[in-house]
Amino acid sequence: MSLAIPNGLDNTVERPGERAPLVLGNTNYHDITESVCQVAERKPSAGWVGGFLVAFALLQMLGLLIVYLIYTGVGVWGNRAPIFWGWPIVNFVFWVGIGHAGTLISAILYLFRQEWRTSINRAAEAMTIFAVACAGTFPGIHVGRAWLAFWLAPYPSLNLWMWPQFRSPLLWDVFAVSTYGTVSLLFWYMGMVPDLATFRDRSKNKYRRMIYGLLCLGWSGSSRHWMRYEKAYAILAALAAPLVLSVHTIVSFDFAVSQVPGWHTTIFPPYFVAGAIFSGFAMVLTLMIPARSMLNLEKLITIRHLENMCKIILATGSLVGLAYGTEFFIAWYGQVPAEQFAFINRAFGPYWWAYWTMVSCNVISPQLFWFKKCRTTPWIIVVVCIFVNIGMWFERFVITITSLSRDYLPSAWAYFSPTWVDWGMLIGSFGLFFTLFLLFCRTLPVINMAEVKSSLAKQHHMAHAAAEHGEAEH
Amino acid sequence: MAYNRCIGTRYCANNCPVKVRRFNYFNYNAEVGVGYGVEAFPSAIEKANRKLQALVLNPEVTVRGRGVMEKCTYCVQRVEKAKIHARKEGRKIEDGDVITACQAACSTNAIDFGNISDEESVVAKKHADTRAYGMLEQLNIKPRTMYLARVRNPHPRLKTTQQIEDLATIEAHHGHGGHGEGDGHDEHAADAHGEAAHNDSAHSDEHHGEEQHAE
Amino acid sequence: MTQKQSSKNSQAPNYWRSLSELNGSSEFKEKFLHREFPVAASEFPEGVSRRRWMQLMGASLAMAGVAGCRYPEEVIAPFVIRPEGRVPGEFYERATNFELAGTVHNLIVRCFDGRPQHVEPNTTHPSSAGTNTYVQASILGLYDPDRSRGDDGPVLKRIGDARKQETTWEDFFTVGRAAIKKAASNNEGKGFALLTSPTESPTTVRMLAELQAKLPQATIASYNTIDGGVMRQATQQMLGTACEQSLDLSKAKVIFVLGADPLGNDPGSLLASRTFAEKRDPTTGEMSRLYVAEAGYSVTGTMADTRLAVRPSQMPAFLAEVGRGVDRLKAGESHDDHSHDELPFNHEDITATERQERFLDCLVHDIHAAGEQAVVIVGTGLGADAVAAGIELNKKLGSLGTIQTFTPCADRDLQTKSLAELVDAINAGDIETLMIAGNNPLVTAPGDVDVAAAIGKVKQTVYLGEYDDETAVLCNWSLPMSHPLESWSDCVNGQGYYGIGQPQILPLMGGRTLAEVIAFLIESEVTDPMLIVRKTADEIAGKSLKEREWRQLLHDGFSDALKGPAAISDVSGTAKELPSETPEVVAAKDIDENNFEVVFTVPDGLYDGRFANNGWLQELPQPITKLTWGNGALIGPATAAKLGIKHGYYITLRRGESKIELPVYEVPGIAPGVVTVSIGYGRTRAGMVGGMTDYSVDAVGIDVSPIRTTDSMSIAYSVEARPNYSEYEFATTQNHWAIDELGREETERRSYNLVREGTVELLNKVPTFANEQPKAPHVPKVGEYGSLQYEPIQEIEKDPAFDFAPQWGMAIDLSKCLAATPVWSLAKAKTTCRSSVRNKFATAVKCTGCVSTRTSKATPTTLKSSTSRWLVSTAKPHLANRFARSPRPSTPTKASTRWLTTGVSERVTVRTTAR
Repeated sequence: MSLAIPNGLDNTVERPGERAPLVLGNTNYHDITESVCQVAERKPSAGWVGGFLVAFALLQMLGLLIVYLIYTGVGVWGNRAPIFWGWPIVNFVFWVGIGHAGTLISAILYLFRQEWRTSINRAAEAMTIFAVACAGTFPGIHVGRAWLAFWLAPYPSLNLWMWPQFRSPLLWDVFAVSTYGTVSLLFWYMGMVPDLATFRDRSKNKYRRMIYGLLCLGWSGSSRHWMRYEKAYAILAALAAPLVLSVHTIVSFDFAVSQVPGWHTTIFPPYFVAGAIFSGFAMVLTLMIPARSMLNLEKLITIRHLENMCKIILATGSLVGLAYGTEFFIAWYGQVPAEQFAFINRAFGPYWWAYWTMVSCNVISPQLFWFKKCRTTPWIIVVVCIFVNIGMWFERFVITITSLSRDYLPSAWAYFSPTWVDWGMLIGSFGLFFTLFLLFCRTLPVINMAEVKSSLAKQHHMAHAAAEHGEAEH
Repeated sequence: MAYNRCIGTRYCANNCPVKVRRFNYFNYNAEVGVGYGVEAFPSAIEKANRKLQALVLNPEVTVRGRGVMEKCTYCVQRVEKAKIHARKEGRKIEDGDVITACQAACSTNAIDFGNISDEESVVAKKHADTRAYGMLEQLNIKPRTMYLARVRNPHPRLKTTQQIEDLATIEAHHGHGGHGEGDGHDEHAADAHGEAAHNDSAHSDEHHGEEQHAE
Repeated sequence: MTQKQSSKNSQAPNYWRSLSELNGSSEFKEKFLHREFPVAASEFPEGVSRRRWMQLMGASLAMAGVAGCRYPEEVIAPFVIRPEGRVPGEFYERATNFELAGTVHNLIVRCFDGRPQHVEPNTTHPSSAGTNTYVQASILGLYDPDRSRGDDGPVLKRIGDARKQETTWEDFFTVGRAAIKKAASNNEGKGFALLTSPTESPTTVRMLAELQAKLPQATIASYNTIDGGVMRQATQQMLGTACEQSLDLSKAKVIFVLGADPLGNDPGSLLASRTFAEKRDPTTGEMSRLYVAEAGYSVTGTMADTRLAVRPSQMPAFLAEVGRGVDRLKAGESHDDHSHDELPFNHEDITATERQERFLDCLVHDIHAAGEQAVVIVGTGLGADAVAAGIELNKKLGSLGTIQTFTPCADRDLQTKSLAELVDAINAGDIETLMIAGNNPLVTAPGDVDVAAAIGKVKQTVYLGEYDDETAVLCNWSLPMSHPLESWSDCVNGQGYYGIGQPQILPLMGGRTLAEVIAFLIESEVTDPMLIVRKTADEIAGKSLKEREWRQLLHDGFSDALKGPAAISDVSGTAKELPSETPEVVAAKDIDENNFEVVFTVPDGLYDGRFANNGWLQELPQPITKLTWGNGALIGPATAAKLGIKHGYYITLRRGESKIELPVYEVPGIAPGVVTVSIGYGRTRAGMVGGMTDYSVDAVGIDVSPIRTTDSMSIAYSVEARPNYSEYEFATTQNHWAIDELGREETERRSYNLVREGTVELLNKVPTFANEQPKAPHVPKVGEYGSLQYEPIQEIEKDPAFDFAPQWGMAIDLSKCLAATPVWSLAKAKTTCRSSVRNKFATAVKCTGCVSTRTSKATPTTLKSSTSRWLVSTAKPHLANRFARSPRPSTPTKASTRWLTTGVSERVTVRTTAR
């Protein structure tokens, strides 16, 4: 698939002494504003409306299923002894993982001054928030008495006369995910303030102006505002960066701190973080590639952006593959029979299909990204990323369910089969995610205009400098 | 465990190595008047069947609502009753003060229950029996329920392969006392034990091993 | 209408805090108290359900002592806590005795606020020995709402095709008395017939005898729903009197069980188990040796020291061979020493014939050596001749009268006919009035007896039963029978002890006992149920019991002075000659698909099907298979391979014109060419749990009675077996055969460590074998407290200040535990056999488990380990099953095991129960 690069320049080619442009075409500041704002300002396309209706219907289904669940009991899922945690936890970890890319792209790449993040960070952050919302749904309804789920929160309770169990990783989870969700939300919102002001300024409708006006907190674009903004953004980025690492580390403690063979491993924190970044980037790409063409954002989200993300996917995918291998090695090396069996059983037991789906999707398919052709061809990227998403879901399935299904006592072993409610909730969670994402596309700036403009400024500056340099040489 | 504090994360059940915990996935007591939602309205509870079935409920044992984990409590209601009784009489708990329900029902008297810190109690003696073992002790779960190994009495000519092999290979290696850190031999690899750990005199016996693992 | 309104409208409070409150209202007395049953619904205080009302009525009638009511004020002596010490809200215990599912039980019932809640054995009773599943579940049966007759009153009458004509006991008695009178005046009662079952209740026998005295020509038929009364026939033949067997295995050194299940489902198994366990104490006591030769797997088989799978058709020859072998040794035949260079007994290179020969050789030598301490127990399934031969052999050995004893049955002198004779009489047109007392013959009768047609031919039919079941629906009258926990009754147990059954609660459904109904029908002078029983007690005592003696009898549950006839150990008859050829051994390749043998087993829980509506019992995993909610055809893997069928597919079993289709459940260790199937399933009118096709509640399991015939109710020979490829998913709480190779190997490997067992020889050599490698995994003990790290709890544990606090612990002796029994199958099942068996064992261990006792999610624990809490969870399976979203029991799926339960286990949903 050939993609017309407006100025004929392939920005995936590294030229010595030159920075590849991150914005293509003869794009000026106004073009950027126009191309981003048009997404929200023009009439919704038929595709958007259709997509929204489907996603919204699925969200309704999720809502109804939750009502059914709470009314009936968590037995409507396929969970049963010994598999006390089934799909809801698989989905939870899956969505938490998806929620990694946004803040990673925003915060860590920001701190590392990776300019290419600017075109994609906003959507990725939004995705983070939505994924965390999806993830947050599950633990709350997963508990047997959902109406008492607030007992997980540490508050001085007159009912209980006690605190939650601070030694339990489930409680750490509550802290980790809620902190991460809060900081990500703030970070996302903070970054949006200048762009919201742009939206406000361009609004022709009184209500829109009022709403955007409220949201942008009276942004006027003064130097003082910019100075404060930059400082706050940097501080939040510095705060958010460790959270990216901590949240999935702590989610992994849910498993690693237990003593279930197959869960009880020290490799889980780094392995989960790598996997989360992996799946997060894959989800960003899965969403951004169709979005950039549908919303005509090719000039801002360029092939170089895609390629960079592919490289990260390749790296993290290989890390994940290494982790799979290490797990086996440690199980063998550790000489704990139950542990050894847990891993052999994963690969060759009744769930072999899940394990090999996971390996082929997560380890083998990203290897295509060694080839530049694959890294720069959007449809290949989308296909691989969808595989990665599937594979990462299966990774959680494999960890959660195969380990539980066969632990210490053979008499307790069982085989898990999901129920229709399990399926409905998994699909419904995608409904929630896409509903929020589609609403986001229509109402908020999908690209960080302010930052893209700043990188455009640098690009122009550099191009100018290069031109001068060239002239001088001549 | 405190049932009314349980919100049902089921984490304890995942971690239970012997998987003895059971979870109330549904409201199993709907017909005995423990309802949720519309089921909890008095009119529903007044149903004749519910009235009748509610009679079966034992007031000594709480009815677990749905969403709550539960497990054997060693008949805590009987334990508490016995404790109160003993305290009233100003004495320590003795054998026979608590007969758990399983113990009472067991026709072969295979179950003993009591105070293991009282060395004179039957259960403490059984725990000290040479046959006593705990399940999954290698996980340091320190079980309070110990099993006394089954002993069969087959005619010597009717022993099975495994019985012959066990007789030939098992040696009294070390006492109960345990051994220090220095003891380095292969720890958990039960399957590897045959040759590696027991490469001593008993192994001259030809019976073992091959047929055993032949299939 | 709310409660508040209702109490405004009616003077009687719908919740009575005290009886005086309830009785205080004059309106109440006028309106309700002086009537036996309120008839019209409009008279009920609104807001109170009819049934609830009936209970209140019953209670108030009794307590207020209103003249003319059925249960006048009577004091039941409490067992432990005397009335003056009674604390409201505290339980009180009463002794009782009743016959349930073919066995007499001596029990203590624990009641709260007038409600029986829990049953335990009467430990002061000389023959007490635990309780079984049926007893534990009897509480649930008592409160089963399906036991009632719907909302249409307690007595149902058919008029034309319409049923449920609301009527009363008085209406029935009028009709019934008229029928008796008519029968009496016409050929001395020839037209009257009563169908009942053998009973150990002297009162019932006395009333039946009174009936017989009044109607000498009347037919009283009696049939045993399980085996057709083989033990009675055999004892009649050998001892001259119908007797029941009782086993004292504590005196036995060598026990040979042939096709019986004395530790499992046979009558009297509780006492046999207790005495068996007394002789299974390897550390401090003595060890008996148990040989079992059986076709399928029984609990006894799993306890065997050595077990051999034998086809039932070969068992008589097997028994004869044992007898001959013992004779030879007695005659001085020398002892061959074979003990060198032999392959292990379960080695695959040994042929089945060699294995059988070695088994017989060792068995015969052991029996001979043990002399009078050896006993042979022959299963009633093999027929009266084989049982008689067993009695003869025990007589010869000297164990008859000591280990195996026979006590005359309570109804030994009653002149009864068989079910077939009754049906013949009906077909001859002799019977005008037929009364059926329980047992649901439509379901439990052998397939070759057409009970339905017979009932159809009788003009007036009456059914007295606990449920309005398949038989009841065909009869003109359907009368509620009272539950053992709510009736006055009595019984004599296998040791001859006479005991009274006291009602723990007034009949919830207005039921009456058979004795009571007969007393009313024949217009006996005593119709009060307590006085009927007391009169029998007087007769047994040979004098009129003083009030003090009577109360003492009720209080203790037994009296040394009140015993039935002594055990008989004089053999007066001779057993029929057994086959003289040696038992033939069928190799797996020679299995003939036209010559299968089907063994009908009693399921642990349903008995003959009478407990089918008890969800807890349905949920109870069957031994070996862990099957719940249904039955299957259990066959060995070799047999299955020969038939070309696999686990989970149907098999068709045909005998003559009848056939049944059942899903195959492969179990290694079942004799070649043998199928074992459970009776009691497939009921269509058991109730809302066990199947009620009229209300779209499917039957649970499959009815096997079509190929069960009168001549042999326990075993069908020469059955044709054919594969049938429809599939079925079993609701088991464990997968044995669905398991993959990897899991199977791991299970086997782990079970070796989880379930530690050894032999007496090993114990003598290494007393600590259970804690030696490789049985025990190596557990490094390091650090100050012997564990890997410092734990604060250990400080607390060692703190002398806490010495006063008891540290609770439990010990379970697997040598005695019947539930946790690995089987070393001798069938050609290779390692798979062991693994499956161990798998089972591992389970059992788990459930009786570490600190806890549970089975799966939806299942109650094995009865043996669960009782007190079960009352609460009991309701669960029950409910679980009815729970709208639950899978129907008849279509057992994984889900049904999932949460029925258990733990009711998650489905094994019973849920759970507990300790």
